[in-house]
Amino acid sequence: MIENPQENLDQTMLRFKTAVGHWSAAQPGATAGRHFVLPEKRRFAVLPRIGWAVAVAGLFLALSPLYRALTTTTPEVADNVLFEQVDAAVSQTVPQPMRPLLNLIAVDGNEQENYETPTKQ
Amino acid sequence: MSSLADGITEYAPLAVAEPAALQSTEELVRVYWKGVFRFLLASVRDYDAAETLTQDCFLKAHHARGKFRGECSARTWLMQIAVNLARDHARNRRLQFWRRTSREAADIDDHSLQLATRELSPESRTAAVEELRAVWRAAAGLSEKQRSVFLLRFVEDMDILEIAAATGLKEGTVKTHLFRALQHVRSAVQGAR
Repeated sequence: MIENPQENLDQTMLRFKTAVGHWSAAQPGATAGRHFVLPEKRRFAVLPRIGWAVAVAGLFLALSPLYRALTTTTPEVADNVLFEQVDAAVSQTVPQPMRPLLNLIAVDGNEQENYETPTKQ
Repeated sequence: MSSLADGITEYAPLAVAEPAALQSTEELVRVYWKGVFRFLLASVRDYDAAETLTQDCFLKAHHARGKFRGECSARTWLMQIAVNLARDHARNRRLQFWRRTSREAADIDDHSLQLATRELSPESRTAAVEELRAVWRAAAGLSEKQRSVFLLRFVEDMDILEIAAATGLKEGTVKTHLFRALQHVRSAVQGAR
């Protein structure tokens, strides 16, 4: 009987498929699908959320000293601001009730200027 | 089943019931897990990686199930994801070349080879097992694309069109890869005889 090499290869490939199938099925990973759980159905799906909360809290704690340093003023700075305010209030040359008179003087000054520049004839 | 004379003739497709619409992810896992794991294990030859990649495959499918338009079967769609994962894994392994020596490749065991040749007489069985070992070694020596095409064809029983859809290759390219892969395997088997 003459052997057909092509038929032999067909048989070999079929056996190869069977062998790979047996080998794969014998591995624990072949049945792992029975324990496969989708992400939203995981029992401990809350853990990632806790992780996020911890991360945000850590970030807040890390940034809070920086925020405090930026927002709070030191006593020297506060004193300087107060001194500037007092200085601005008491160093006015004209008291508050006499301020409207300054406007009148200004008007007179303008008139005087107009008077001092007569046109030449 | 028809002959493999040209290396690319059709196998009868595997009898898998395909629903009109995509099943739930749980149903996909139940029906296709073993097949996807088998393909990935034969591709990457690493037990842990195969299991992890299989999980990734179904997770990706779950997240992308809204994009499934039913243009191919669910099985082909899953295999498409699996092929991409195997390719990415191979690339990562190449980048992490220092890790290659740390783990031995998973090898097909004697028991499986014996089971596959149990119908033969003890005398023929030894030769047949050697041939299967030669096929296994030859498959390892194939290029990444040739190996994917070869395994999808001869282990997963997919036809040319399904392989083209799963690999993203043109039909003619699939045939070329398959032809070259078979040439390589055939010469390995002849060397083992």
